Amino acid sequence: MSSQLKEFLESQAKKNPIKADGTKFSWEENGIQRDRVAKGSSGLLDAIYLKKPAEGTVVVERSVAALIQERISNLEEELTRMRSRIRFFKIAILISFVATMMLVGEVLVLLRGG
Amino acid sequence: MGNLRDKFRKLEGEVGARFIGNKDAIHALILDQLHQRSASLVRAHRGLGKSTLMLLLLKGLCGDDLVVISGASEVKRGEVVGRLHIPSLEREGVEKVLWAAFTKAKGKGLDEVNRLNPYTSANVHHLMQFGEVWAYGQRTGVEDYVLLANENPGDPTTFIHPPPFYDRFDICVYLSSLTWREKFMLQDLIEKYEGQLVESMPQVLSLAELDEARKEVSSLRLSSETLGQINLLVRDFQVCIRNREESEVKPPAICEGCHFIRDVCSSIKEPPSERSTAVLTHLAKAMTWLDGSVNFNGLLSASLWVLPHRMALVRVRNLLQDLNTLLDRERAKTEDRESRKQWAILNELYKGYTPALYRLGKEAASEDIVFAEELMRLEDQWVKEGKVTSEETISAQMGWKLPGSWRG
Repeated sequence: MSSQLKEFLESQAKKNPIKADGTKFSWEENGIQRDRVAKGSSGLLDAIYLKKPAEGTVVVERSVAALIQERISNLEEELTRMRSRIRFFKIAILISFVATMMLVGEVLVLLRGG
Repeated sequence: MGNLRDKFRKLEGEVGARFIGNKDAIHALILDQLHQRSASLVRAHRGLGKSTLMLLLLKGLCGDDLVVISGASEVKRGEVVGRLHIPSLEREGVEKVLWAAFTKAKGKGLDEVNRLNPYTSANVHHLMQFGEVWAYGQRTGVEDYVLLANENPGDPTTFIHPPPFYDRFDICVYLSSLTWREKFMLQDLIEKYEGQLVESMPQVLSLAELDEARKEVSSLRLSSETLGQINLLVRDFQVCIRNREESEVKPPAICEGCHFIRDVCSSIKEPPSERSTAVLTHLAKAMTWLDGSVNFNGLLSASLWVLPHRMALVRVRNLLQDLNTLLDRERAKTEDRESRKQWAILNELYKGYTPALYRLGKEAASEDIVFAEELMRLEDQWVKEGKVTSEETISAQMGWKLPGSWRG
């Protein structure tokens, strides 16, 4: 293993240590802020997806914001696709309406014995 | 050392005094000059000052020892590198090559790279790749240089150069148009220098000082944390559990049904080359030397100069904004990695196989492909040693394969 990789892993392990107790491993979450952020984020997701009332101030974790952003862009794309389909169907309905009218006209002309 | 740093700061100041706005781009270009055979590309639409910026930097670094070739004018085959000495051929029957000024000059400028004809760009590509040029069957080595180029991405009269050619440029910076306030500043500036912006630019440091600064920066040693961040950043943009690099099917088609479809990898059609790691390392050293320190945010900013000309995204609306979004997700990913304590887990797993940690590692691997790759390498070793069966490995359970490996 490269010495730099070893150093990197050691420094990361020092920053975020795991406690070993026989076959059990545990660690502590550092700082309350992370809890607050996580709570705020899940609060927002619950408000969006489970229709639960949101708190006065909503704190959003970056990853959640990215998820929502991606979801919005997907929905926007879906909307554009749907719009183009609706336009296509409108034109198709219009064409079939005109064709039907012409057919009715032809039938009427035939019935009058033209 | 301090003196050299001051000179580079003075260079940035002198360029900034003659070029309004785009301060980040100027700083990026200054940082990129701090390693040998530097090659920087400036991209901007017409009239935004890309040629002026190129000339200011070349003059500030090389004085009069500079040659600019322009794709906008007619550059004949071979002229850029060298031409045949006709009298020698006629009198003595000897093919003697007169090497062109562009080959010999320390400062090399390429104006409107997008218009360079394929012969010229092939010559320049060879120069950047091997540090030598060929003409009429003869070669000559090219000493250390400063290469600055510019191009207009919106120019319709353009040659489409191959991706490896652009990959040879360390960084690519984009210039933006001036704000209302900056336009007043530009008018004042033109009046002050009587329109002679480039002509008034002094040579701020000698070529010997430039060499010395480059050597100093090269000898710096980055912390393992910075190196780890650089390698992770680039790997995140390269990795694909379905081996996109070797596949004829590219994202988004290859991503259908993939476990990591929501990851950064699914937005990347062509990954950046390994050279981006080397360039980010150079830039991190340059930041340490000139700015005093380098942090993760600095590396993310530098990625915006290193990646745009090296990779292709699946959907592009605005390249820089799209890259910014991916880099934001990268930042979130780094925080997730820390909260999972995955590097501490990997550190323990490298020391030896522990079933409980291996289970945690498998959970982390299902969230992070880079970690999954490392764990799969360890699994291969443990299977050989009989510590785990091949059925219980994450690669078997998720159907993942490492590139080039066979799994029956």
